[in-house]
Amino acid sequence: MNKLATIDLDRRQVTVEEIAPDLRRRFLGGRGINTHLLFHAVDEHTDPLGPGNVLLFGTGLLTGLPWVGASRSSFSAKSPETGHLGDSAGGGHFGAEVRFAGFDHLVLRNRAAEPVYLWVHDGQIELRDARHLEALTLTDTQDAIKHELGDTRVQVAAIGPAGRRCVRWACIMHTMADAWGRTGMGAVMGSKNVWAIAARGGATLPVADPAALAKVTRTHYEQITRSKGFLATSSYGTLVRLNNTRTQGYEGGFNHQRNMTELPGELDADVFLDRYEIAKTACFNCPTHCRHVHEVTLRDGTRRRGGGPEYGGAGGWGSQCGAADWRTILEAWDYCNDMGLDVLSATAYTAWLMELYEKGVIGEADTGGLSLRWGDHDAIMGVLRQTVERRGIGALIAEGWMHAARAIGRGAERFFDHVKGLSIECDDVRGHRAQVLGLATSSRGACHLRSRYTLEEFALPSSVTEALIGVPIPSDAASYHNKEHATVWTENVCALADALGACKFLSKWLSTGLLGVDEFRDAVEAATGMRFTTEELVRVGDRIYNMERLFLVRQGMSRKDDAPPAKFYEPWTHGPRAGTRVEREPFEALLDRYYALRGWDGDGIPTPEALRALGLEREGALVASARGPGRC
Amino acid sequence: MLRLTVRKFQCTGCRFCESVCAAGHAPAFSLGAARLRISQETITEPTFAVNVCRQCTVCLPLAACPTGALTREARTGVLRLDPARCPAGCRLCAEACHLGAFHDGGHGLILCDLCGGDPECVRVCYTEALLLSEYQLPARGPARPAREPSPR
Repeated sequence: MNKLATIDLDRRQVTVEEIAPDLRRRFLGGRGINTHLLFHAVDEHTDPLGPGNVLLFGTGLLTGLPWVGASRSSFSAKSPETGHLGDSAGGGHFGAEVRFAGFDHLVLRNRAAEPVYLWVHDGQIELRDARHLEALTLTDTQDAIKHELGDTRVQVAAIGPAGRRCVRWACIMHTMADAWGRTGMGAVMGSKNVWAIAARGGATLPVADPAALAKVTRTHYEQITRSKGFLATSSYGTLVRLNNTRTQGYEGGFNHQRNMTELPGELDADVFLDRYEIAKTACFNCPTHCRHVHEVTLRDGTRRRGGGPEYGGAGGWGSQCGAADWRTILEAWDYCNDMGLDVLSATAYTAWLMELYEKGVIGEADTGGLSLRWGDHDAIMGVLRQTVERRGIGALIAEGWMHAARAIGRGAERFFDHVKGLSIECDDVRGHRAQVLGLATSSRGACHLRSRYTLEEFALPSSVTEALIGVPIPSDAASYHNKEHATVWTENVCALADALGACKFLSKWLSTGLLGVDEFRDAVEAATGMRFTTEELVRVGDRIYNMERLFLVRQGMSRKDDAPPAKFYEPWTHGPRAGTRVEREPFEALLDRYYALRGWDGDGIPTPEALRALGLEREGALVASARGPGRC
Repeated sequence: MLRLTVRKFQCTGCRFCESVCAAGHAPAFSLGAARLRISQETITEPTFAVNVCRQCTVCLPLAACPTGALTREARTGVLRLDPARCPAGCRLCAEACHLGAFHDGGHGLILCDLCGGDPECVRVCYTEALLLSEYQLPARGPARPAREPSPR
């Protein structure tokens, strides 16, 4: 317990150390401690795919403990897709099992000479030959490793062919559809020649007050399962958003050219449940069981089974690429999961190429012979296959969209919707001001899981939001008033949840009836004995966010990078809120207020006072010496 | 009398039951202390095996136990495994049980004790894959009425 293992892959050496209590108190675990380690392990010159990068794995402070939804864990590294902060959280049972195997954090350094997988068990870490896994898909890789180790309760996180070939937006997968998806963590793992991490163990995790934790768990379980949101999330999972975005006019269609596609009704969560879903599965300790399992007959007549899909894939290939056809969506989804491609990037890249094709920026000479017509099954599958095989247009986008845009030229980069190099999710939130601000300021680039103020979509009375956030937030999504408070609150609470290993799907990020910081505080105190006030816990999230900001500042980023995608300044074309767009002036004023609230200067650089209050002055000084005076 | 009923096709594999069972049976938390185990044969198979004692009316391990460590409580009908009388490495009960109810708890075998009739695992199983149901043990003696004498 409380162990950090550093694995030098080059020398095949493992060193284990205790995690200092001070580090725990300041950053808790998971994304928090990962961010601290990453900041000090790499610098602005580190090559993301070189041996100098590190791959960090961190379990949350509560991951694996008998508390509701204690499943999440994070992989972090310098991102090969965006070139800056890389970090991705995932669920399933892997994080818990790593803890049962006796470790909280893993640090992978250098590069193994031959492909290996790590066998983490009962306080030991072995490097085992992985060459025999070369021809296998991701699910087969996991089953092969479980079979080899002779235990069905082994949990595996692995990369697929995409990660092994260092496609810059490859993900790390676990089970059929649990992914550490964004920012190309699979490519970093592939660059280290590590093809999987398998974990199993029977470690005893200390609980400070078992009776209190049992009581807290029971209360939180009741709170979650009786909340209004629970029925929706446990039946539809993230697909609940598919119907909302389609009917309310923010679905993001044809690479964000339209906000309502008016595609046929097939693209509906209920149609999926009726025709394709065969079961539900759950992450560790979670009553919500939001993961679908589907069976589908593909176009070539073969029948296959897969996990998911989530909204990002259904909306991404559905409205964004125009494929209102579950069979195409599921085939593309399963292919990505088998090969280890990040679905959100895959959909964004495909939609981008389709728009370039529509506008005549690229032709069949560029695409390896593919006609990239909207909604075309062969076009979608062709782009994905070419990427994994690194040929045709796939050879370009496998190196990331920035590389592809440079190679294509002709202004191709203008059509890619991103923040800080990371593609935005398929939904189009330009009419939701706190969400736009969150996209713009999000620390790993555009992200709905660390900065989306989801509650904005429910038009909550400002009395409700005042009780939650401390400041009344207007119920009108299109208002700019006070939205900086909503975004800062969301960013801090999301960072806190990622550090605890708590799932945002069970938290007030999604619905006011679910778990909030008060509940997190009770669980932390019962489980670990660490006493925090609610404010102190939110400050941990604040500290993590500022640490990530320092990472970005060291990379040369500032206000110029806190901008929503260019298309958001154009009006919505369809639906009840047609005409809505991001107005430059009020948005810049909102950004100013956000910086002021965070204690950052007008250029988005954290001030020495703000850093001192969070105990980050040492990191601030490091960044200042790297970037020159006036930069922290 | 009470017993657990398992509806394995309802199980989502969250293992919350294992967690709360382990937490309730030992002061320090280790999943090894759980009296029930959930497992999955392959990644693509969404059906989970739930291995737990169901207080079977006909209990083969009860007959197989050579030391009398395994007994059935007369009042509640609950099967009890007395660790003091259970010799290490015997495992005859585990071999006799076709439900895989006996687990290695680190310091010998462990068995579900129904938590005094209010099991926490049932409480946290939202999909009701685990249920508590009532049953009657048959009275001692022949199960069916004595056969009529043959007319021949």
